[in-house]
Amino acid sequence: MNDLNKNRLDELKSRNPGVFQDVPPGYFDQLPDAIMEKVQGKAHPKGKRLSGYYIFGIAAGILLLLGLTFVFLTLNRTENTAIQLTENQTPATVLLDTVENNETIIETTEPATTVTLSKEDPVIEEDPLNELEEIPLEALLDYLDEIDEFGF
Amino acid sequence: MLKQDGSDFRQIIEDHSRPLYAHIRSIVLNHQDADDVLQNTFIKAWTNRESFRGDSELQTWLFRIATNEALQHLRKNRIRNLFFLRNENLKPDPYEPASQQDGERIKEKLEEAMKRLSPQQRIVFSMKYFNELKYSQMAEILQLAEGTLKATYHQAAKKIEQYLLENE
Repeated sequence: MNDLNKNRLDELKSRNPGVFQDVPPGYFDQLPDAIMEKVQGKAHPKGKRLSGYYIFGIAAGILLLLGLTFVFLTLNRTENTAIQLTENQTPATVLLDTVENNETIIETTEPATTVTLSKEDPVIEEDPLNELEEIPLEALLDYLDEIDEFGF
Repeated sequence: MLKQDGSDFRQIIEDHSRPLYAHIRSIVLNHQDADDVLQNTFIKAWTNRESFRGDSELQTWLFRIATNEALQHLRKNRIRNLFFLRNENLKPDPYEPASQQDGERIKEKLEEAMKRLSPQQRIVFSMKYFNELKYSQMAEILQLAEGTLKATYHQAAKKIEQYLLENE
């Protein structure tokens, strides 16, 4: 560095001992109090804040969780509604929901207490008394004993 | 040696805050960051006061902490600082008295010139020019050879001079 430059910088220094022009008035007077308060544990150190990235990450995580919860709850509600519709339908021995194009068949059964059969019903073809001839005698007697025992 | 009960700590803050502030400010360039770093420096010094054995001067020890804190702060805020350097626009208040304006203009120019230095050049220049530290002290603080520091200082001064000449 040549002498001219050295003299210039020295000259500037003599005219202007400090550089920083925006230091608030009274800053250095209040600084010891501010620091002593922090070192004695009454406040958290300055600058130890969470960075914006952490805050953004936490917010994104919370939003994702809320979104998943909403989707899960919505799906559950749809399934429950489908079951309710099935139960509300009129009672029948067999309920068949035929659906076009290979969709699922939903089937429910109820005890056949309300079924009425006529003589012409193709389900009944033979006289039930005829069937007794095919049952062994011992089985019949056992059955009759059972009836006596239980009072039926 | 620092007293363990910290009864001398307030005095230490009062004695060293201005030169430390100037040093930190020359690295981070704005008051808000300088304030954060300065406070963190003293908090760190308080936390580690037991580790200070008096092998070096207290000022040297504090400057070392301050330098590390400032550089760490720069690294954390790299992108923000880049934007800041490109957009900072200091203008003097036209209603200030002329002599004050002259002083303010010089301050502005020096600040602008220092922004064009690398962080290492800024640190070395500030320590030598504003804080008037000896090369031996700077070597202890920055863990650099005295020859390196002298060369860095001369390069920094040359750059600042060139900027001042071009912007008179």
